[in-house]
Amino acid sequence: MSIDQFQRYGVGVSASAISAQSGTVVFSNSNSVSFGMSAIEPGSYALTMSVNANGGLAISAGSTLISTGDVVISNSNGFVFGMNGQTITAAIQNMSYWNNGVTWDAFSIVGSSSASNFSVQRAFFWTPINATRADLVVSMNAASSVTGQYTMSLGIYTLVNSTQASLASSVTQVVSWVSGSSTNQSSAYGGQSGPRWQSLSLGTWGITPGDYMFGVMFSQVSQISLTLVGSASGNFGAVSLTGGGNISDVLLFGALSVGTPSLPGSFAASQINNTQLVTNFAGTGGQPFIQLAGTY
Amino acid sequence: MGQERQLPRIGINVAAGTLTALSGTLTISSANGISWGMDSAYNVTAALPSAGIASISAGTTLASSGQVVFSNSNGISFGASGQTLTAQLATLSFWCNNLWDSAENGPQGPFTPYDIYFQYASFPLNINATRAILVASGSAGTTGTINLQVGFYTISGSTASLATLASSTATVEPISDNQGGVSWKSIASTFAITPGPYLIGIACTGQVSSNGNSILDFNLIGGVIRGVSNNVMAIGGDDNGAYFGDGYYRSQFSTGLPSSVHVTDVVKTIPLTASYSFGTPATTFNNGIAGGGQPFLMLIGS
Repeated sequence: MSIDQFQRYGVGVSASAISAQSGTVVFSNSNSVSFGMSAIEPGSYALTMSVNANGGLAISAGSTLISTGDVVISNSNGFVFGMNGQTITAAIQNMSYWNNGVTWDAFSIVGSSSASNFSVQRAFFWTPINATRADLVVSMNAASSVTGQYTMSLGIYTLVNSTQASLASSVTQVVSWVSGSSTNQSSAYGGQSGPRWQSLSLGTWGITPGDYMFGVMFSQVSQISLTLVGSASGNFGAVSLTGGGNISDVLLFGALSVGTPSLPGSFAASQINNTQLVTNFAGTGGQPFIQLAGTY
Repeated sequence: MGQERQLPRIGINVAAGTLTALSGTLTISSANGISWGMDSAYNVTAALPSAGIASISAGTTLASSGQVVFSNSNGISFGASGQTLTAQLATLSFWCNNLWDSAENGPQGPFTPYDIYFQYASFPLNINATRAILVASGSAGTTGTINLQVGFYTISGSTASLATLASSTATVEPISDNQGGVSWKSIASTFAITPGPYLIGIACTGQVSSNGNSILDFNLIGGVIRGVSNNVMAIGGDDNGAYFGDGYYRSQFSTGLPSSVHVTDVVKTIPLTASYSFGTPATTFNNGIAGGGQPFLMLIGS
């Protein structure tokens, strides 16, 4: 009788493409998996396996640790989270209103590129805003209620570095009127004369938290007088805000020393005159009130 | 019958750890969070324990595998040190209290010791600045020097403590004839402001003027109270000593800003004396520290 004719009374073990019918199968520790075996009783053995848990992922925040299940990063406390593929982003909740906080005074506007007509001011945003409109407060008067117009431009500049600003977005709007005394018609002199809100449609300016410069320019002003609401010198009158304070090397408040026919694409701190008469629009002290409103 | 023939073993042995099973029954035991099973076709199955969190989601997107990256965006940046993940809000290099008004006739009176103003401010973002800027004027024809100090106090309960990381000592600049109007005054220092509430202290004092006056006549530009003339600001319905707010230090201090301030040291009312009344609306900020006015201040960095 051949040995091959004996009935097999053991079990075979197969894994992958190999099947072991005889010999010793060794469960070998590898790949963070380890094995053990213990004798339960004569002729009986227990094989155990353990997996190294280091392969798992856990996240903790505050005093809480999450090591299983699904983690949801939730919008809360003014923070908004997003995810694109495997990338998580965070943002501060958008606000729908901002203003530059300047006091409400009044100062005259220079509206000709033959003179300094571009005022700049430093601004900061704590929160993001998708602004759809900007508002200024302008008071216009003419000797007679005749047809006329003026142009106002607003630009927001990002800071290239501490001395250079680059135009990011801008808007230019013409305010025009014909003769007429009706105060309810924006197309009539009566509707545009005196102090008026002037809104500039922005499309959408998506402003993220950070430092910026605003530039305000008026042009094509003739035969009318314009007064802008904003911070002004008020009590200390037509005195010069002189230098000496070591601010000429940074982007702060002031105006370009020379007139410009349109918003410049960029400007440098060295171009800002911050020592002019504080009663003028183009001077350091005369800074227009600006407010932004948009979607929430 | 002859001797029983020894049959050869044709099964397999199983070894794990230090044991080898040569015969008998090998039981694959559920243990260590791993559950074993076997079906009728003798397929052995195993269920492993959870190896960590299953997924991370934000917004409407869920990631259940691969690597999740926290990406800097929208003014928020992330960092990781060892096993610790941190987030940081944007850092600005500019801040201004916007108290730019027609302030004049600032701190008059005995400038030695210092007059001290306090302003309450809350910063939601970081500020890294390298100089504080005030605006001051001297009377025409008067030359002298002024000492200015700006300090940031952290607040804990009813006490504000001067924070070294955000304090600055004064610069001393002569007010010459050609600066007899209004001029910028910079104080170089490092102002590293982290989000939170602060009490800002501004101290000023003048020294002997060129015209022989023992007191230099100078002004600080700042915010004023308009439309209130020749009145005093009494406590009224306000619990004056219960919270920090804008005001002035209860007493003049010979060395400038004190190292700590109690909430009751910040006076938010105007003393009931004739010399401390408001000026007319056109000349508010009169008597400066006692007039309810507060200096203009901005921080600027690079």
